[in-house]
Amino acid sequence: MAGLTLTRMAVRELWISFRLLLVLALPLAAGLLALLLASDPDLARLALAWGVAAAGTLTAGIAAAAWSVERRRGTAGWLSLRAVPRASILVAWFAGLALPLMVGFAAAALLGWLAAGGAPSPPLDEASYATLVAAGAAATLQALALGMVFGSFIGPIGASVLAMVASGALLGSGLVLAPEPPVVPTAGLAMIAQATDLLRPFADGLQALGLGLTMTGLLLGTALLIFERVDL
Amino acid sequence: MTSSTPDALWSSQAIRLLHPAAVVCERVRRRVGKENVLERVDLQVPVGARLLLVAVPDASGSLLLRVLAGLAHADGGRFHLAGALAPDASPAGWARRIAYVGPEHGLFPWMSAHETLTLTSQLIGLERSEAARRMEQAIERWGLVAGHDRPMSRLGLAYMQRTAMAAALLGDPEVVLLDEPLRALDPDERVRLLRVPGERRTVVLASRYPASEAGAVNQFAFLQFGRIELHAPISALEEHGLPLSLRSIETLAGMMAVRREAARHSRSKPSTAERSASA
Repeated sequence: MAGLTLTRMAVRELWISFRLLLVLALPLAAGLLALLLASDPDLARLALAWGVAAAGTLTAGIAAAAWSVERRRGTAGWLSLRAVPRASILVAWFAGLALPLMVGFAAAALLGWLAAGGAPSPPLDEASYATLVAAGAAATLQALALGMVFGSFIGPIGASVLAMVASGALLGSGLVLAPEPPVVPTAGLAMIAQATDLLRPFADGLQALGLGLTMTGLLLGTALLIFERVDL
Repeated sequence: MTSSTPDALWSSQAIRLLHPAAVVCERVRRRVGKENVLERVDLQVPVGARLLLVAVPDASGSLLLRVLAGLAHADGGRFHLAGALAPDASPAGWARRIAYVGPEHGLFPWMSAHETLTLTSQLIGLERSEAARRMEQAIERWGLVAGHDRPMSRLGLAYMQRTAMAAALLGDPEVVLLDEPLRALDPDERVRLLRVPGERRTVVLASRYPASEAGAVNQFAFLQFGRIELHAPISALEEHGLPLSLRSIETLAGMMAVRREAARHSRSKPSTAERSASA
């Protein structure tokens, strides 16, 4: 109950400061770019993957700054004084940021699918593509969680810069390393870029999704450990 | 026995004579960087007291209140408020029994006072009818009637500070920790509002301008270089013809320290009779 209320508050806070629109628009821009390059489906998918990685990197910076400001201006402290566990505050903010990012990402993925012609080419079918998109979404969630880690103990500007550098490296590694089999938790992005070249897109997509969600959980756990120890 | 002692028991004169403590600090320590901001804080604030906490440097007073409120961590020592050892023991109970208002109100400025109070009542688990009754009272007492449904950011800092106090006191807390609250208000109005009603309610008020708190407190504690140097009733200042000010408190603390030193010296020095007996 409190978690839902807090998530709504986080979304409202983001909406009022226009950050919600930004988080929503960044991945959507990647989708539009893919649509512009629809004449070359491979290039369109590559543009989508790189665009989403860039959007994830910028969102990590926004998340780190937003979370750091929330901590510093005393609103997180105000909530914790009213019996809201620190973990709930952090998770609510993560959910508040993840929600628009996922909506934007889903729209971008749909645009990417349309850019590639919309017709599935074996072994890539709709289910496989959805799995790859989910794996890619998990990659951007890691960037977001990384932003929460830095925002938990550093000032807004420092946290934002560090989050963008770290998540840029994390998402970049997912783009440049061979996705089959997925060895890095952000491999979902490269899988989107090379969707038609994959031999087992569904299985590998699921594996990348699992890796990505595990990594997101670990990063959120780290953020929580730090947040439990800082002064509010 | 704590401030949570049931009313029937509390009404007994014998119990009242025991002077139960609402705030107890034992050897509380906190280091910031290389500095021991709180070196060893020992303090007992009786139930119902209105304590003025004056600190040199003043940041140490704020830090002590933040440690007590659970917003900052202590490096050592122990403390309990209203009989509860730590916020983690029973978060909901803690939030109702302990209130803290700092110099930064910490509210969401886009919310209205009504929304803020509604959210507070939900978070601390008040029943709907009880919450509505208390909110109505709070809006009246804290002067929030005009504009209570408009975003607070449009109503100014004083309005937000009053809302912060109203939200803090909505749970009818036993211990109220205040760190330079309501500074945006007119001084007279501020003192009037700081006279928080409730015989059993304990208030600890950290202030760097003690003179401005006259009328709102009945005791003071002087925290100097991380230790409580003096804890006395306000009347102790009056007995020495001193006004309520930082300088007066420092003077009195100095006088008390000299007396303590003299008493210790006289105890350690053997008397003439003792000397002749030992000879």
